[in-house]
Amino acid sequence: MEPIPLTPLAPRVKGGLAGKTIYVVSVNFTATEPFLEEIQKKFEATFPTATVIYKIKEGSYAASDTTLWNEVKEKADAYVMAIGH
Amino acid sequence: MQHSETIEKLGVPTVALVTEAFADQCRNLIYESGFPTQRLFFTPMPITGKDNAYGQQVINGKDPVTGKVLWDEIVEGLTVDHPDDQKTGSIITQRPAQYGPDTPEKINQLLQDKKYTDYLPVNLPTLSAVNEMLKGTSHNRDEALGRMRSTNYWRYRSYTVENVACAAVMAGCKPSYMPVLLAVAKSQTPAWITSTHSFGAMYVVNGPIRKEINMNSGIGALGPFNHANATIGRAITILSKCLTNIGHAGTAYMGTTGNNTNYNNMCCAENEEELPPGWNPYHVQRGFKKEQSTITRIGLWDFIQADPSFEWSLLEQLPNCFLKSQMSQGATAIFDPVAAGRLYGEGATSKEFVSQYIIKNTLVKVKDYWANSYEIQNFVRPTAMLGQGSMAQYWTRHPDLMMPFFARTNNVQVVVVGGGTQQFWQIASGTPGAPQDIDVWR
Repeated sequence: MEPIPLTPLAPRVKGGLAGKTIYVVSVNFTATEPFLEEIQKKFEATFPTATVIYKIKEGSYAASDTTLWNEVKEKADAYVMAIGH
Repeated sequence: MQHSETIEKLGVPTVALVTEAFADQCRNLIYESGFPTQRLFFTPMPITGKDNAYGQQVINGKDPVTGKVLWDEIVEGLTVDHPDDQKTGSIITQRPAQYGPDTPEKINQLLQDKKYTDYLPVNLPTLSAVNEMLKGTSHNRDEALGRMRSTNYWRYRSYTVENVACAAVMAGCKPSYMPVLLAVAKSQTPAWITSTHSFGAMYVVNGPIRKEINMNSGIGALGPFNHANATIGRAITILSKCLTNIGHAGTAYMGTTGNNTNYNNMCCAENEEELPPGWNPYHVQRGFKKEQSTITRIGLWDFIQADPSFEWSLLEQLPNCFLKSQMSQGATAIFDPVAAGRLYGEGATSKEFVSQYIIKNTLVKVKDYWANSYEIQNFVRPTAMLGQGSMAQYWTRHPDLMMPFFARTNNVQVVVVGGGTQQFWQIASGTPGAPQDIDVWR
């Protein structure tokens, strides 16, 4: 079997999430919007100075969304993605 | 989850949330993809279809897998480093090529424990048995055939002619069946793939090899009534399990109910001798010569038996039966020779005629199409809603208008299998792949 190359993770956010830009992103699995909405609300309530942006990824849940990825790379300090099933 | 890995590579810390049913699978996957410390947390199953109040409850409640408060995990996952987050290098895993001598019972148990079998007793792939099986092909035992994986989330595993011979021995095949199995292995496609849907497969053999190895294309062809059909189909299952990790239910295999066709893959031969005039064998339809031998895989979403009326046109009944299959991405009709003959008598002068008739006349209301199934809602609708792709034109159509059920692929195929005892037929929700050349493996 092929060896598995390790890839370093991005460093975690320093100094907490206050004042940061947090993306909450749905994979676009059917009928899961309420759960993602509640994650957004929880971030807004817990970190009132944070900018919380809720997005639904385009295409089916397995498909890539390069436009969104570029936006996240440019603007996001942190990213939460959910959910299927 | 693979999306979260993409975002991590872009330099943005992420948390991925999945439902608890996928805990084992996802933990294995983050290891396989080289992100062993990826922040992965779990919710109860299901989340889909639940309301906002439930969502609040889940976020403030405990992760059902770890027992920790989910919200705390999410915040910590974004803000607290793990000492192994920045590790580089490789994880190398090996598996032994051979096992030492032991009792047949213990080796059978070992093969079961490794999830290489279908849990029925297997013939042990001893060196002498494998050598005998290799007499069925002129190809060298060390010849590389390719690599396989259960889906694109998992690593590939490479394999050789000898590996296929081992699976053939285990399944009880004769050496003369080897060219058929090598053709399957060369396709680099396992019998079924990882999904929460319980996929199956059907394998259809065409050409002279059907008679050479005494395959069944008549009465009971899809059932346990013939040695070649049974053991080749079984070997394909064992091959798929040995050459991928698809045998691991709960990690690589997630089909929620399972699919009984996975035992034998409905392996059969097409009844070429009973085809009506103008109806070509499937491999001839795909550009092979009649005297060539091939095997074709049909990937299955579901499988139903039609119960037609004999009192009016069989051709006219076909569309209604296909609507019941619910699977709009394509289908394969499996006609008994007498049913095929009846269609011929009603003017179906070729298989292509039947295919086009079904495609043209199987219609559904627009609103019913978009509400039809998980498959359409998750894989077709998201793109159509954006105005992209060939299905976008139907997203904006009036909901009560009719549209072609098979609009997405316009793909309906026909094979003829059966012993002519009744005008019955079956629908496999799935379309055949490319026929694989068997003769090159003799």
